[in-house]
Amino acid sequence: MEVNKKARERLKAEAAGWLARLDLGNADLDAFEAWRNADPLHASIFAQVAAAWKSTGALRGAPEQAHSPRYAAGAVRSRRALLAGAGACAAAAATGAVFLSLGARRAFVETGVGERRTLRLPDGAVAELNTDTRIAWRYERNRVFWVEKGEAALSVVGDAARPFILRSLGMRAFLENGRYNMRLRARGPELIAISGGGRVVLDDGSHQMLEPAHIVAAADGALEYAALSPERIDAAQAWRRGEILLDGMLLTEALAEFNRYLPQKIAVADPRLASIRLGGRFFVDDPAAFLRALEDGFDIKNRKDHDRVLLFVET
Amino acid sequence: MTWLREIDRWFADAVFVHRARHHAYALRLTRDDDEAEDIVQEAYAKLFSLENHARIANPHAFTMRIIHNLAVERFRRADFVRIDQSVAISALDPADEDPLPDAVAHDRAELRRVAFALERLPPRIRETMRLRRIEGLPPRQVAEKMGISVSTVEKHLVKGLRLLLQSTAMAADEEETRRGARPWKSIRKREKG
Repeated sequence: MEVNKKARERLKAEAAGWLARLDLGNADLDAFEAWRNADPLHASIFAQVAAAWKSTGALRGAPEQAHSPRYAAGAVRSRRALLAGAGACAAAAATGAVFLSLGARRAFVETGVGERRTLRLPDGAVAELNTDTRIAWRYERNRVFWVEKGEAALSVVGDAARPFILRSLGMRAFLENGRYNMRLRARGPELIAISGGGRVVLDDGSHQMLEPAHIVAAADGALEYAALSPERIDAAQAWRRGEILLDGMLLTEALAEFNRYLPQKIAVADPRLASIRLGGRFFVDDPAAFLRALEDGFDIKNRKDHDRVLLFVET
Repeated sequence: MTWLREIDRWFADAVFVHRARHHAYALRLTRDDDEAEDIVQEAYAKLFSLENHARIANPHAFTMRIIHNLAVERFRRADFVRIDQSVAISALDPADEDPLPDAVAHDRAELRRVAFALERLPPRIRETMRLRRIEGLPPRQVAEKMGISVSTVEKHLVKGLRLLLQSTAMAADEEETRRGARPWKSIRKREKG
């Protein structure tokens, strides 16, 4: 085996040489490709050196390495701006009560930060409200259901004679019986059909047929439509089990997910941390476990700072 | 970075992260460190001669299977039969290996290993790696900052990469050894049954 070992070491040195020259921009690309294609062993040893190279980039977060899942990880960028508008009524309303506004014949229910709630609607449909959410409904000739902020899971049943219309900021969805998840993000609403389906119309007239296991979103007014894998559908509903699934999203995105549930928000004190990517399963009511994981895994410490928790690294 | 192909990323993320397990498994099959490494390298090379790697559902399990097959092949070709090895080969089915450890913990451990390995590089080499890889400075600036030529930067990077590859592999192997001190137990169980 001695020969093989020597040959391996020589190949590793060659591969490292290629990689360094490629990185510095003074490699002969044709010669490199010829070398790499000459033998699968060359290709595989180069890939091993490249993996070591790639791993050092992870120390600065390596934003180019992983890709952000488009929907599951979407950031809640200007959440404060969104809250500012809804804040006034939210503050006035006692958490969880049902309010009837007779003039508009709308009933609404809301949840506070960290609260979750299930309610049954007059027609037997079931709505599950996530944290910091406000929904409303009006049942007349049509059944209209609004998600005004936050996120709700809906189970639509019965009564084909009275169409069920789910509405949220610029989006109307005419839904068949089925199960749905609607989340109002800062950039617009996102509707997932777990089962069922229907027709989705935006205020600008654009429309889309919604099929099961698909997501339709109005991102800054533009309609987006995509199929979802079972894993993504599961991740989108993890909140109903009180879980947060982080699937390789940026730390800042993960914090946005967590902060939805926390009265005391977690913030990043050191901009170098922003590009770290995280995966894992956490519970919304146990932020301490999340903070511990950050500390154990990445040496990211935290400290209380007035009404929030700051993340930092010791240098 | 056109030189980094999709298969390279796939290999790094889906296969090479488990290299310690591949090596440990090959070692249990062969009882010889060099031969184990030889088999692992041969298995990796096989991955790079596949028609369509993207269709492999479980790249780690697939790699373990190749390692097993290669060990069997070598065993059959061998001049004399090592009895311990024959037991190992028939008992250690790759499908019976532990399920994959939690990907998060894995990534963390890997990050720790890389950080630790970087710390132990010779100072000038470490500084070159840090400026280029972590600070992300362009090559010329790295050279200027360190008062060396770009070709010396290249030499430092080559040396740094080789040392890094070596010490992260060693650290991963040590962790794997600590973690998996149980191969013979499972073999004994099988023999009884």
